[in-house]
Amino acid sequence: MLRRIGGHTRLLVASLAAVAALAMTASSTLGGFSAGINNSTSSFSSATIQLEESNGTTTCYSTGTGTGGSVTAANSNTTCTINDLVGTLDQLPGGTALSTTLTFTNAGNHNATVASMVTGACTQATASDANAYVGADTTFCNKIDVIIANTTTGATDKCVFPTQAAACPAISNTNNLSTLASQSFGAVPLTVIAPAASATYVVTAELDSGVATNADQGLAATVPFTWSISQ
Amino acid sequence: MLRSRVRRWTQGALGSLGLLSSLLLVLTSAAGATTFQAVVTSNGSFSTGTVQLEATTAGSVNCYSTGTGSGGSVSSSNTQLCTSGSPVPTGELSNGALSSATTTLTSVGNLNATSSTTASSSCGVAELADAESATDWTGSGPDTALAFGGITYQAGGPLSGQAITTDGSSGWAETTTEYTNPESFTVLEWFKTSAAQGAIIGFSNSQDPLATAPNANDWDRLLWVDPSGKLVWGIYDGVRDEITSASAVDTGSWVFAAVSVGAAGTALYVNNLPAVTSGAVTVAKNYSGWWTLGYGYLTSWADIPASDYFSGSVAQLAIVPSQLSAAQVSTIYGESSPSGYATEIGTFSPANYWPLTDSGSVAFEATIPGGTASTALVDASGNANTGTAQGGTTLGATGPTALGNASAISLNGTTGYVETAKSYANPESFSALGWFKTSGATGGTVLGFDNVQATGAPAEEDRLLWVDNSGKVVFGVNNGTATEVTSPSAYNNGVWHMVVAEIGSSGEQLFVDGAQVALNASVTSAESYTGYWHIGWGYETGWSDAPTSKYLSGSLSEAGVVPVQLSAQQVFALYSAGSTAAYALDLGQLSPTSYWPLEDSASNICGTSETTVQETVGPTNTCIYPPEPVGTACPALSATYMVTGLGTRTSTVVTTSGSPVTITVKMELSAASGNRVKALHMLTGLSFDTRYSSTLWSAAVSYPCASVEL
Repeated sequence: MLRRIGGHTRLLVASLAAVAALAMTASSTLGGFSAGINNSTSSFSSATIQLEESNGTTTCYSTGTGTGGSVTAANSNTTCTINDLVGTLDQLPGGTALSTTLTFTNAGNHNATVASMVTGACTQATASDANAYVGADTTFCNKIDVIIANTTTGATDKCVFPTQAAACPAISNTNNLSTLASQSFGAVPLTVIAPAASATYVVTAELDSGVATNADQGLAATVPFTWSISQ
Repeated sequence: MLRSRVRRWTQGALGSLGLLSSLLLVLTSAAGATTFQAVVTSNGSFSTGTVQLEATTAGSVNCYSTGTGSGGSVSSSNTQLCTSGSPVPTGELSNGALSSATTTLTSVGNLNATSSTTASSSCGVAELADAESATDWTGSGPDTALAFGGITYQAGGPLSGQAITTDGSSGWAETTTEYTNPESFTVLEWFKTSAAQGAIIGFSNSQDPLATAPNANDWDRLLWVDPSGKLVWGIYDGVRDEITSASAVDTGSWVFAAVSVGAAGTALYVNNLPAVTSGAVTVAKNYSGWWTLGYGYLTSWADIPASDYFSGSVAQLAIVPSQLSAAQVSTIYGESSPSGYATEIGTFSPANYWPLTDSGSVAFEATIPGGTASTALVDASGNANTGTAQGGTTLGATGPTALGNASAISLNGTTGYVETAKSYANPESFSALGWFKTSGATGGTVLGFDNVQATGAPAEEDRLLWVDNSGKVVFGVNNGTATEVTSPSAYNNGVWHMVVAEIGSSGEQLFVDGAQVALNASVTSAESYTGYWHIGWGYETGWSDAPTSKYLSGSLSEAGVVPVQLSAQQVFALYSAGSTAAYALDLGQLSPTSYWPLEDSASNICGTSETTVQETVGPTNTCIYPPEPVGTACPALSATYMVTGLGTRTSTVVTTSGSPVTITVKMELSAASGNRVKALHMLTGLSFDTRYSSTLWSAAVSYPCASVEL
């Protein structure tokens, strides 16, 4: 195989030498025109899919801090400090249900075709300002009512949790942090996002006045929310 | 290359909270179908606040709704039973001289509450319990002794146990049973004293020897410390026979003593020393009388000290109805623990055994010997719809276990019920509630309403809440058609149940043990007439599921009427209160028109003391008992405002952070009080709470039965 390649090489070198000699003769003895194209800017560029989350005061990006950055293979921000539930401490049973509006923007340049929200397990701990008064209830997550509305214009489903096309039902203990935990939600009831477009979700939560007792004082419940878009 | 990407992405995914989405990305890449994805993970958290209360009583004694002041696990009741400190005066009350106590309430949670309540309960008088139920010498079983004056409880005792102490000037106790001529017996006890004075035990025919001297030499069976510190045992049978210990016992150390009289004469044992005996007297004088502890009427005896009051500690006092031998006494002396002592004493079937380990907060609720039995059942709502016990009604019965140390009335099923004082015009939209315990198959009424105050055939009757013959609970109203709602299950099983019957726009409803068991939504009103509530009796004649007996046979407690239909949540909160104090505070928040705790004592001891309760915030004083406008201080004490009427009072101000509320309780002994109550240890409960949004979150401190010396 290598020998065959060597024979072709010798033939090619001889031919090129003959052409070169002819050209040298012509140039020294004859004038002529020529034309050529040099494609020196030829390139291949990839698109960007970037996700921005904002609650109106804090903004998180899947990459960087809003002015671009090095996109890693995971393209994942796990240090976002936005509280997707209720950031105000010291909630009470029977108090006013509080809402948080979350806006997700495709900060990249490519249409997303997939959107997802995945919730992790609900865990409970001592509230940060409890002064060591810790409720004895071990089912605190069951006591927090929650609904999530999709308020994006043109959304197929108006309610993400509980999932339904119509607007969300009145908040009640039927839908609570325990039933929300460890769930996955896809492009519907969510909304896929075009570049520079946004989707908005309103998360409403309250401490249920019917099932919460004194044993639910001084507690904090946490559920991780993982929001993603992809091509 | 591919394995490297998989490993790198896997590590990244596991290190992130967006675990699932990253894992999906990895799997997609590994399969060769790479996609671009952007992920943001944010935590959602939800935190609650705390409502907590601190009470500080005299001497800076603190009690917290939870824990000891540095936080703690918050229970659903969030109520602390305070074991030290007193919100009521602890000194001896007298007539014409006020005694007062202040309690400062401070919010120590991080939330401000919206209302506060003060609730009292009438307990009775402090008792020294008799662990035996023998009926020797016509005794009536366990013979509670009543404490008077300077007695303190749960001091350090012998055998690594506890004891009472008497102050040597006013503290003593007396049996509530009169005994007929105790003969041939042995008295055993441990004591400790450094003072050569007073009797450890005595017997006389005067039930109140401090006020009335015994007559006809009817005071003997006396064991006292003479002026030289020696122990003397005196028996009288025509002559006063005294035997005296060989050495002094006022050494400040625990001493075991046993004395007896019987066929062998009299005997006196001190520790394990040889007995001192006398054969001169083998029987004591024949008369009926009462035992006294820590005091003896020593007049006319020889070798008596300057004071009849014992000064020191006494424990493990027993009276055995036989004359024990020296060997038997020695065996008892050899016991080294309270339990061993009790077991050994028990082998001789004692007539009485007072361990004297009492807390001083357990009430004797029967009629005070020599006093008048009370039939009054207070309306703790403050609306003066007082109940009066009728016929076979007994006060001071054991109450619902779910409410802790509750007491109750017991009804005999044939004549016992409670009549109430006030009439009400057409109660509509209300909840009638109570706790009942019954068994048997003839039913009976929990609460009834008709147009006649007493029993008898009324012209109108409805709003009847009864137990039918099968044990099911029935609530009947008549708005033109008699309509009954009935529980599916029976409750005549001899255990306590809470029942709530409601009528109003939410319909005719029945709740048992905190849960709704029957509803007729179409019936929203009852018959229009003016009538009276009856407790334990109702006129069910003509109703379709009428019980055989209109009178309840069983027990009732914590009854009341609230002028609204309670929600299921409110009903459950009451059912789950956990203590009578918390129940009273919860019910007080609902502004009942009547609330009969039915925990009244036949002694009516709290009806002997006048009181007012005032709350102060900053410069503003407001009387809450009797209720006055904000900024108006309490009037002078008078017989109009007795401790029994304090009940449950909603405060005019709320205990909030930075604005402590001071509660001042003033008391004096009523001029009308009989001599028999003087120096008794009156027990009255007082509880405070602060809460958010009516019944949702509350924090309470409760002094279940604080002691006041009368």
